[in-house]
Amino acid sequence: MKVCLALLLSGVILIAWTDNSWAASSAQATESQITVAALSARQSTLWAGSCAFCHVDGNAGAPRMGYRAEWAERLTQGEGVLLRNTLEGLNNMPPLGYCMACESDDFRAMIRFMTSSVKEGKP
Amino acid sequence: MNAHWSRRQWMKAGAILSASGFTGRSAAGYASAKPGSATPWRNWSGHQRCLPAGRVSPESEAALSEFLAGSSGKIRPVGAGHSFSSLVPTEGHLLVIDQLSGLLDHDPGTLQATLAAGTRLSDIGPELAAVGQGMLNLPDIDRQTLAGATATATHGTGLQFTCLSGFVSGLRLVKPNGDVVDVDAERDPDLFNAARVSLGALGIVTRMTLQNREPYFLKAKNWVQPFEEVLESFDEAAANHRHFEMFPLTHSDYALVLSIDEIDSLPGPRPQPQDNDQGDGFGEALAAVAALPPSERKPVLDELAPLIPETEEVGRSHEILSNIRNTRFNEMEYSVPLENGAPCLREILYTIIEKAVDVTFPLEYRYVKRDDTWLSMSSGDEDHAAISIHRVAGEDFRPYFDLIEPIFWKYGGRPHWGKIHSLDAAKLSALYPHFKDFQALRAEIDPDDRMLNEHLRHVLVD
Repeated sequence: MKVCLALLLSGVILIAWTDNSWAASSAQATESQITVAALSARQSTLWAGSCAFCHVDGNAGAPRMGYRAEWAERLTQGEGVLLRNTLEGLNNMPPLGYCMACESDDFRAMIRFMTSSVKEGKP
Repeated sequence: MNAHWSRRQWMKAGAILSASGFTGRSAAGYASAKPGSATPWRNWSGHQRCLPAGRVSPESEAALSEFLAGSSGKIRPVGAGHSFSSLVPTEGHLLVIDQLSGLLDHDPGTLQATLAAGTRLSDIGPELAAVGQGMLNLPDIDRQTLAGATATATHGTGLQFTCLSGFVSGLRLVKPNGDVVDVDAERDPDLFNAARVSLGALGIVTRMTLQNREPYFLKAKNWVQPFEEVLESFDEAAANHRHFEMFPLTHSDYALVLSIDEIDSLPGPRPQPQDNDQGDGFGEALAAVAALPPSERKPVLDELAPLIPETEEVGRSHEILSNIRNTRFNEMEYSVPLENGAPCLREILYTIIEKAVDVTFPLEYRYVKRDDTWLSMSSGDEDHAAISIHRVAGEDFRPYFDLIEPIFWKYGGRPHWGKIHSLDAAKLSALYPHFKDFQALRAEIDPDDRMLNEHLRHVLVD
């Protein structure tokens, strides 16, 4: 199921990358079009092979994309803290969030990608 | 208190309890990253770290070959970062093959399939099932890459099954100078036997052909049983079950036991595991135990353990054999000759009690079939018993591991290449008949030592 969702979502992301909008018809709980920060094609692939393991279906207690309440506390911490948590690991998230190929700029883009989706997403 | 506690809950709670004070980060380690420098790297547990000059993530084998041929600096490949030993840290470039992923080819006749080596184990099961195949066995953790798992001789459980490297019937290796070679037992048996467990020291393996079988279903059973009872009948149980292992509880007379056997079909939709239920009092009960001095835990644990009921789980093979591990830890694992397994395990558990080691994380004890690679822990003429000890990430594992490691040596143990150990090349050479062959081949393939880091030099050269 997790893999299916990740694959599904990675396909959705490619759409988002193409037109910078997310047509929310997937298993995500979003119900209207949401503008998300763009990822490059490379970053989309990396994201689908790492962050998506947990941030799609909430595995390991991870906050899910599109669920604002699950990100609320994190959104107040600022991007710097989220980046540090990603690099060092936090709770069940391993350091680098399983993305061995990611540089800090990639993580910043992925953090913006995930947080921007919830800023306008479902409560 | 809810008495419906599963083995996984026990394992998880035991691990969590070991983690008092664990924050999952180290300010000192992060501070080592120089402003404006490359992104620091850490392994899954957070213990291993480095500040590489950069990361290289080629989009194709050709791009990888071109990069290696056109550069000369130090390289270390990284899979998913699940190794606990220092295989990866480098001041050179990290080489990541995440983009070399997926099923490349398959043969319905031979039930073999060729996969890109950066494929995560978690992705292999569904991809193979779609073409009518299933892997023969899998290790516990499914986030590893195929390349990383085989390079370290990672294994599952069962006397019928070698480590994953034993399932490889052919591979493609991009040598440190960029040369690309396809290797199998007929074309170059020496390189084949070395490259299947290479520690990433011979170049970059980009694809592998695996011997699989038809898809299948499994039923896992978990129960609790007195440790000595399990150990006394372990050989018989290991022979009678497809997979059989136990997780001895520390400071207790009991062990958690796991058997997995093949079934013809699934009885219905697979229920979701309930292991994440935190509200059943299980954690609270073990917290009370962990608060006791180690020497006072045994009577309480021996009262609690029998309350754990037997549980069952069914599913497709890859769903039962392997999954994600959320509680991060560091691990030491040695493989000892089969006949030494029981006395070695008894001595470890006795030592933990005698020295009042403050550890609640259960051990793991299982059998692995021999294979014909040069450096697998089970290579050679005899099957092995693999024994693991753990500490939750963030804890200082060294005193515990330092205490136990000499016991492994006493019983002829070989350390898992991806896990914590302190042996050097001289000592390792005495454990592997083909060690010097590997050393010679490595020196020939990588004369400039560009694939070596400090750890690999320690375990393979000096």
